[in-house]
Formats: sequence, C-alpha cells, structure tokens
Amino acid sequence: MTAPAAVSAAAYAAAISAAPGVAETPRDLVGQHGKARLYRFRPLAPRAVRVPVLIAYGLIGRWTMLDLEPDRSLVRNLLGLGVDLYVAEWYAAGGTPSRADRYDTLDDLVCGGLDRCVEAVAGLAGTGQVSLLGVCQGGTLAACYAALEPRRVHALVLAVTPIDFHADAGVGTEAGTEARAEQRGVAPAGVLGGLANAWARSLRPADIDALIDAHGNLPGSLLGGAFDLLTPVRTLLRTSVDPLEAAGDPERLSTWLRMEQWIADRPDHPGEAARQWLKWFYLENRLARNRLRLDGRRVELRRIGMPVLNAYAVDDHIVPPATSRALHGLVATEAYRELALPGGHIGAFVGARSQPLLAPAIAAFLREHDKPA
Amino acid sequence: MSSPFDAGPRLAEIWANLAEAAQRGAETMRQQAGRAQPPDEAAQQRAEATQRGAGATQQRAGAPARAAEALAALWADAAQASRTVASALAARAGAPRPDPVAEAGFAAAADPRAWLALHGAGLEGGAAVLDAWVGAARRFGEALPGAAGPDGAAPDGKALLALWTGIASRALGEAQRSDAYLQAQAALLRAGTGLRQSQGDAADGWAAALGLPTRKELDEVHQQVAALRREVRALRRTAQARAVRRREARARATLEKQAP
Repeated sequence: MTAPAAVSAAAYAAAISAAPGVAETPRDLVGQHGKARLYRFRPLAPRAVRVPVLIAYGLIGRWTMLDLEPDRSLVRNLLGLGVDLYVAEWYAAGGTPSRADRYDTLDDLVCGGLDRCVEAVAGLAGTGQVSLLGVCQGGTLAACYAALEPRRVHALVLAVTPIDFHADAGVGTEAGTEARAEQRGVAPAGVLGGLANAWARSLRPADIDALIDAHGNLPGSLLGGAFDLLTPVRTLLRTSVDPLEAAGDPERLSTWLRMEQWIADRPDHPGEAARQWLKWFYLENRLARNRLRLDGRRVELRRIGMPVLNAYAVDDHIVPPATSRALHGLVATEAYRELALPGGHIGAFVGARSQPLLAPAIAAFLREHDKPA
Repeated sequence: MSSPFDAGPRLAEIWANLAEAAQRGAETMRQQAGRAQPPDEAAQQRAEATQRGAGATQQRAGAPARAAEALAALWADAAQASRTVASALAARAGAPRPDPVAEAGFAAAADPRAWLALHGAGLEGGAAVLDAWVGAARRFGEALPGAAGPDGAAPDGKALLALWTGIASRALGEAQRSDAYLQAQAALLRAGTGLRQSQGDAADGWAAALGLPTRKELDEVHQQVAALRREVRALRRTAQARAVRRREARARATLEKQAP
C-alpha cells in the first residue's frame, strides 16, 4: 500500500474532476428508432468476419463498460480482430429512460428495439442476418430474440448471461473460488453465489408491483445500492483502499477512475420491463421453464439452432455460472461452446487476465462459423 | 460534498488518518508482542512452543482487542472515505443527487407515519447488519493470534487488512443470506415504497389543487402511447408477413408457369 502521506489531495481532486472518459472508440450514428440510437464502430483492422455483430446490452448499467479504456476494451479488441461491430443505446436521448418510458416492456425492447436494430444492421451489411453479442441482461434478451427470430440470427454469443434463474440453488463452488473471493473482499461463492437471486426471490410479487407502481422506473441508485450491498466489504475497499494503492501509478489510477465513473453512472430501468424482469425471470423463471411469451409469442429456447458461444465468469457473484451454463441443455444447436473467464461479473470484460481470452475466443468462433463470401 | 474538488482535501485527510490508525494498530501490536517476549532463551523457546501449539500466549491476549479497536477506527475512516469518493464520482458522472434534508422534510410532511415506518425498518435492517459486523470483529479477534509471524511479530498493515477483509466478507455474506436479513431487507423495501407512494399521492394532491396535470394523468397518457406503439408494431409485423406470403406465392406461381 502506498503511504497516504505521499498522496496529494490536489492531484486526486484534479484526477477525479478531469478523469478520462469511457467508450472513446470512434463510432458513427447509423440509425435511430424512437429514443434508441444505433452506432457502428469504425474498423481498426481489415474485415475478417463477414457477418456483422450487434452488441445487445441490457438496461442495467451501460454498454460503455465494454469499452472502458483502450487497453481494457472488448470493443477495441474485436475491432482489432476484424469484426464489424455495432451497438445500440436504448435511451440515448438524455442517457436514461424518463418517466415517459415507464411503460416500456421487455416485449418492446426485444420485439421492437432489438428487432429494428437487427433489421438495420443486416440491411447495412447486406447479409440478411447478424450475429448477436449479448451481455448480462442483454444476453438474456438476445437469447429470447434468437429463439423468436432464429432465421435472422447467424450466431449467438452470450457473456455472463443468466438463463436459468433458479439454477444457482444448492450448487457447489468451483475449485479455488473461495480463496480468490476472499482476497477480493467478497464472500466465497458458496456463501454469496446467487445472492442477487436469493434477494430477488425473497420479494413477494406484491412487493415488486408496489415498488414499480410507486417509482415508475426502477431507480438506478436503488439498483446500484443493491449491487454495492452484494459485496459490502469490497464496496468499501473499492473507494478507499483501491485508490490508495493506485495512487503511485497513473495508469492504474486512470483505470480505477474510469471504472468508478461507470459504476456511478447507473441509469434507471424502465418500470414495466423491471417488473417483468423481476417477476417473470427471477421469481417465476419463465424462460428456462419454457413459459415466457413476448408480444404474445412463446419464447422457446430449443428453437436456437444457430452456433452458440456461452462465456461465463468463474467468480461471478451476480450471475452464478450455473445460471448461464444451464443454456446448454435448453438449446437445439450442436455447435454449442462454453468459455470460462477468470474474474467476476465485470472483471470478465475489464480485467487484465481476460483481455487476451475473451475477444480472441469470440473472433475465432465467429470466423469458424462465418458465412462464405 | 458539492464538487470533486471539495472531495480531494477531505480524501487526503481521511487517508492520512487511516494510515495513522493503521500505524497505531501495528505499533500497539508490536509493543504487545515485544512485552510478551520472555527475557531468557529457554523461556522464549517455551513461549514459541506454546504459540505453535495453541496459537497464542496468555500474555498476548490483549493485543487482539487493541488491534480490533484500531481496525474499527481504520474501518470507520475507510467507510467515510468510501462515501466521500462515491459522492464525488456520482457528481462527476452527473448522476442526480437529491437534497437529503429537503427530501426528508417533504417525506415526513407527506406522511409522517410512513416516514417513521421507513426509519423503523431501517433500524431493524441496520441491526441485522450490525450483528454481522460484530460477529466479524469477534472472529477477527480470535484469528489475530494465529496471524502472528513465526517470531511472534504482529502482521503488517496489509496482512491485517487482508485478514479482516476475508473474515468480514464471509461473515457479511453469510448474514445476508439469512432469513432474518432477507426479511429485514424486504421490510425496508416495503416501507420505502410505502413512503414513496405517499409522497406521490401528496404531490398529486397539490397538482390537482393548482390545476396542474397530476402524475397519474401523465402516466395514463404515457401508457396510451406505449399501447399505440405496440399496435403499430403488430400491424407492421402483419404487413411484413403478408408481404412475405405474397412474394412466396408469386415465386410459386412463376415456378409453376415455368414447369413443363
């Protein structure tokens, strides 16, 4: 630990104030639908994968975590490997859903926004299909879309994606997880794993209804607070000891500041979509039970026949690996592959150890299953 | 904190306090360990044997308590630093930050009973968490003697923090899965929701009295717009499906014409 006496207050104040931004990889606006904006990233290498990839991020947090900084950027890494990459911002105007968006549902997001983006990207690329890269909640929604519109999705890549929300119950821990967790200031997975699920399941449906009815949208601050509470010790270390340790290393300090900015910048979640997410997925586990309907259409995961790459984080305390890996038994595809990433839910994308793993694995998978020219 | 610039000096001050507390804790432990060293070699060997066997000598029994006390002070500062940094970062990110004083005043005025219920639930939730922290502190005190080096020296600040972090993480994690904690959290959420609902009702009452559109009326409009969007989407899908069927029918007809 660096001696606190060496820490310059003015330097810290200036660093926080003038902290470098996140998501700075150049991109162009190529389409919009309602409040949603579709961007295409400028290529950084000759095209190596013909079918374009659309990043499907959810409504919890922002996609910008995937492009945290040049050295920790899934976006840059994929561009560098010749992937044609697009991303949608669901509430680009103002950055967060307003009260006017409180009635937006997951049906609207999957069958409306995501569908329009897929159509637009496929049209721009002239491929008729796209590959989806779904992250966390976005992965769940991407899987729903792929099940509803399998002909439009060429390949499905999921990362830290919950599918079977009840699969964490009674699951043991993977070797080494306990020691790693304690070092990071979080409880071992056996203790903590699926805590978010346990909390959500401890709510009564009437509690969820009252929460959404009272707030309209689910406040981002409430979500952020819940995530902080999942790892109370790590949360305290994160904003006290971590910056102290980073004080003597400008690059590390910069990474820490970017990460903290992303964490602090948590948008509200549209109310009706949050109601569905908490009740249909966490409480009722409709997707895995084949009981989910979006826009009146049944979402059947067994209709997923396209190649699937399912990446999970071995120390994930928000989406326990078991809830992701359950996908294998629910899809029809024979081209199913899993990728175990070091780190936790966010570390899988921004951690130094995962940088040489995730993007190369995705790019290789996409190349392997690419459409011939 | 109104701006990140305000946060900087406070941060440095907190970190300085944190370091001092850590130093004080380490010094206390070193002194305790030093006093525990018997003056002659034979006694030292006996003490080391005792330490290996039981983990700690009677003479060092006071050290864990002092170290835990120092750590508590350190942790309180860390918690304060954490809040300060989080606040500065929220300001940097442009996140909305309600005025807690004004909000509490409005909340209490809107429905004092709901406000009191929220605070009561908060206290009960806090008690559940406090139990976990106290349990963690106790376990930490018990583990300290075993954390001493082979020569009986107290662990350095970093090792001390790692030990505390591991113990506290496990204790908090276990507590947070308990029925008592889950029920307390759910009760807190219900109380917060009840208060929020009361605030909304009060605000709507004022809006109606002033002839302004109420929240409920605006929500009705938004709900209608959302429903209309869905109707448009359904019509669009129907139209697309018809277009596909027409294309397929034309293609079939063409093929039939070309067939010999």
